[in-house]
Amino acid sequence: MKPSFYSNDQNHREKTLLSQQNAPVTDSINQAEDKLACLLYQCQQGDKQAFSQLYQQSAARLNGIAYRITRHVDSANEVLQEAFMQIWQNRDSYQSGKSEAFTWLASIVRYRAYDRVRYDQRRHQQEMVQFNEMELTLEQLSEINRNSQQIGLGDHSEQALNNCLAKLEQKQSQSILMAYLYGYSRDDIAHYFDTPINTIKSWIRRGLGRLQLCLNN
Amino acid sequence: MSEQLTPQELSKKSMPKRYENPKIVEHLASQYTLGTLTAKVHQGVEKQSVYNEALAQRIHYWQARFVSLDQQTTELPPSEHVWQNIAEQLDIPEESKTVEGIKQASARIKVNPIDSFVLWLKSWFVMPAARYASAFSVMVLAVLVLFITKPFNQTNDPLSYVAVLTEQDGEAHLVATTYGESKKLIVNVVGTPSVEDDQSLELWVVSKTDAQARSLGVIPVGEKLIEQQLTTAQWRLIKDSESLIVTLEEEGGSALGEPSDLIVSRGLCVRLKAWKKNA
Repeated sequence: MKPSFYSNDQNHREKTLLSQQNAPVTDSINQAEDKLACLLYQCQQGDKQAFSQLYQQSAARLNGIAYRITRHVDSANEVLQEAFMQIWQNRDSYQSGKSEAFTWLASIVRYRAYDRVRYDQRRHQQEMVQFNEMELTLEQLSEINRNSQQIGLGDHSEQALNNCLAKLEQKQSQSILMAYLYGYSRDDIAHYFDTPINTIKSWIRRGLGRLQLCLNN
Repeated sequence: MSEQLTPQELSKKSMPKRYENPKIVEHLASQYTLGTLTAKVHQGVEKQSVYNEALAQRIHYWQARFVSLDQQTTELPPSEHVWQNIAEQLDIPEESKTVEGIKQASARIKVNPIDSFVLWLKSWFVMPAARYASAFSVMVLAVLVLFITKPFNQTNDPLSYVAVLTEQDGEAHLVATTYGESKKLIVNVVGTPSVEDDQSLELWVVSKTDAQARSLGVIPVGEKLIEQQLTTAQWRLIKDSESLIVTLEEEGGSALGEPSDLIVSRGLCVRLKAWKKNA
């Protein structure tokens, strides 16, 4: 039996070297991921101490995501609280073989935060309050530009996404990132670009199609 | 007699036809992940994904692709009252209510290795059938090594760490166990790949602290059970280990003191303190 290498040709060797350079980052993500998955499994057995540990392990990261979307510390804290209640209530729906633990947790927080942003937006509009939060801040714009142009940093999945986003037309990648990173609805994006909403839908749909093709390659 | 249907079957029957069209499934899954669906459609997709496997799979696909953006996001420690509110609502005991800071807490996290194994096994069971055999054999192997070699070698010696090293295709290569009191390393070679005469397989321990690999020695050719007394320095390496790797090196081991990039097998080190406590 010949040794089966994790890398057995030059191309793969280069990739292995590259992954070894990124190994500390990737390994620490993998370790954290394993811990979260184990804690979620213990939560599924009804272990509330494990839930406490899950919170301690992930709350700051998840709160960062909530804050990224809501841009408000108190709102982020409220979103986090609601999300953790939902995590406990829906803990049985987590399936370790189908989804990474952090992906599952982050998705719950993101959708809660999107809801919160849109609820706040409607409330502000109903109260006829001058509301200028829909203007992209300079910080958000630089983040979006960084994400849509960044190449060659981070681990493989991060690199792949960044590379593929960079290949999209700028308005397509910007629309996708505005939605994902900051919870902008299609109406908000249409307002920002001063473009009909159907055009925005088309940008996002085509952008996602091209992104999928690129990621699959 | 009327047909009895489970809630799942009922839901499938009432599933709108559009949820079966692959193009629509792809569209809904991607836009769901992006958060651009209206609240009503978002909820509809969420409900359907419980029973519609294709839809759920595509949602997982898109979420996994985009999650790196979330991993890059800067952390923001939440206010202390967030956990207090959660603990109150869920009636979680007092000792869990004090959050001593996220960084300190993460250092205290201990995961029961038994749960790790059960979880690992669960995750394998949702994978394609072709991988069942190798996954199952690795698990049986680990259990056998733990419960057979333990009395054979070290009757009263608490087991401290175990690592199951697998090749890229999931085939088990070797199981390494260490015993705390005697500081012995037992390597059980399961499926040795053949190597050329001028080559050797070398075992390395990868540090949690600096991610550097340090040698534990060359694996002797043809031996199935290797017992090695660890030096104090090697034992320290084991205590700080993140994983073990086996690499293909020139005969006698790496002359550079560093592993080559020809990694034959690798496996995470699992600390087994909890097993000792439960035994």
